[in-house]
Amino acid sequence: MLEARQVNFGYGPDPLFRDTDLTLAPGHIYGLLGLNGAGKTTLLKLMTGLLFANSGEITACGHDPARRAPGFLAKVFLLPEELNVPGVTGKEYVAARSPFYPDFDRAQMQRYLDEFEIPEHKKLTALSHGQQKKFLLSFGLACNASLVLLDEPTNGLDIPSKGLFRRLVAEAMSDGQTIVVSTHQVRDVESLVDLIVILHEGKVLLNRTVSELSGNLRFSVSGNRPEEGNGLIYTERTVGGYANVFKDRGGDEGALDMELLFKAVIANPAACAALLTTENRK
Amino acid sequence: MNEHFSIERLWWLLRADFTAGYRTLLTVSGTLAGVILIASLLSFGPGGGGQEFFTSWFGGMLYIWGVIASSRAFRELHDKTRNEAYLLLPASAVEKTVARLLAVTVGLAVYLLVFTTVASVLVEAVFLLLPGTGYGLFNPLDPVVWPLIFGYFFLQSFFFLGAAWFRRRHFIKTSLAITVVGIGFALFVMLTLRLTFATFDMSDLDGLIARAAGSYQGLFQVLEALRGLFAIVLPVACWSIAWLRVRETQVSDGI
Repeated sequence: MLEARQVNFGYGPDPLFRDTDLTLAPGHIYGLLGLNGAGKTTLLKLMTGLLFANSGEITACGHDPARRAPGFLAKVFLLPEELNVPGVTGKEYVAARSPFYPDFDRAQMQRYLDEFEIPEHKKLTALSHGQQKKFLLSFGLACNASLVLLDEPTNGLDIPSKGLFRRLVAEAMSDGQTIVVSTHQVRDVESLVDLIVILHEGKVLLNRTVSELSGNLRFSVSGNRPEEGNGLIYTERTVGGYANVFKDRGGDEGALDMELLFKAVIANPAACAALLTTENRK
Repeated sequence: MNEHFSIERLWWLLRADFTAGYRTLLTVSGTLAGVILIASLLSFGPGGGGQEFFTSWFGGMLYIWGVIASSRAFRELHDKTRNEAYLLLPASAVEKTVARLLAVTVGLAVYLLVFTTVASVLVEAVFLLLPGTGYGLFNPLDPVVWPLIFGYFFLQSFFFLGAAWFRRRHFIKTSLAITVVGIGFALFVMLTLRLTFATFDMSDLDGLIARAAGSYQGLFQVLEALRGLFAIVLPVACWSIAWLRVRETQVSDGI
């Protein structure tokens, strides 16, 4: 679905990505994580051709995104973090934009709008930020695009809508699709994503399935700080004790704490990389 | 799928732009109709008015509205919060450029011809209630409107290019650029003439040109043809550069 090879990119003289490689396969929902300024949004823009790499090669849905060919754009949908909707009603928006997407499904769109309780006859500018986001998300999912990129999709959503968001995205997912959710709100997407990509200092530090990670790592909370060794990768003081990440090569798949995993990978990239190399994987 | 140009996608683009802009169009048109009616009443004399009243209004609206609309033709392109949606709309850069170009050239000219005709009918209807004769109806097929339209197409091409080229303050920057280039070009021509015709008496410039036209008839015909070519080539060049600019535009930074 997407291949990025030796990609270099930066704003001005400072490089943001240095020889970055990334592969995204179809049929998965990726969680894209990174610190502020790590380049998550930039990566989404490189994938869609909104930015051009300085060097390297990106192929998405069989196209070079930088050419922004209509055939490619019809297969891609990006929900940006900041929204600025046109001053038209939802109905007008759908009528004007849906013809560009050959796989757009009007009934699907209506179902999403009903579930999110978004009125279609109202001007989009009259909707709240959260409602605008839900409307565009509904449109994006109804486009049935091959590559769906969601930048901080749960920001501005109320609590019930976050659950609804997870359900609708999971339902909309098909084998030929790739969905990338870039977020800081890891709790919102923990149960949704099946692969985790972590960006840090211009590199992809991690690109692994949740299942692999759950099988190789153990997350625990202890009253006291654990001893170094015994497979300890990361520990931090938390409310009521210490949250820990251990190697757990022989253990069963346990629950994955995405936030703790992220901190562990950022704090100790070498250890995590070594643990998750092919030969060490279960 | 044709990745470069499709009439179907062009139609969708035009329709999407119309959907987004028809409310503004109606508001501006309503305001202008009111202004025309008031102006017609204020400038009306006992002997009636001439048909040129509506032709002048047509020309004024075409140039002022048209230049402003052309300067705003790519307003989303440099707007951080709107350019992503515009650039990701599944149509080629050619189609996006042509759609905007058609809207601010042919589309606007045709719309204003119809609008001025309708406005003239309304004004005449009002004048039926008043003593004397009105201005007469506006004739959209009057030959005097064609030079106005072609002159506008030439002028707007600079503002269309400015809309794609400059990130903000498109109208002011384009106007300044035209002024600077115009002054530079005039200075160059004056200097060239002064050097070329240094030995001639420049106090009688009209006579000099008339004599030169008589002596170098062929050269003058070529110059005349070049002027016609210039009037076509320059707008096409501006529109083409605008297309290249749209094609190469990236969104502003967003880490």
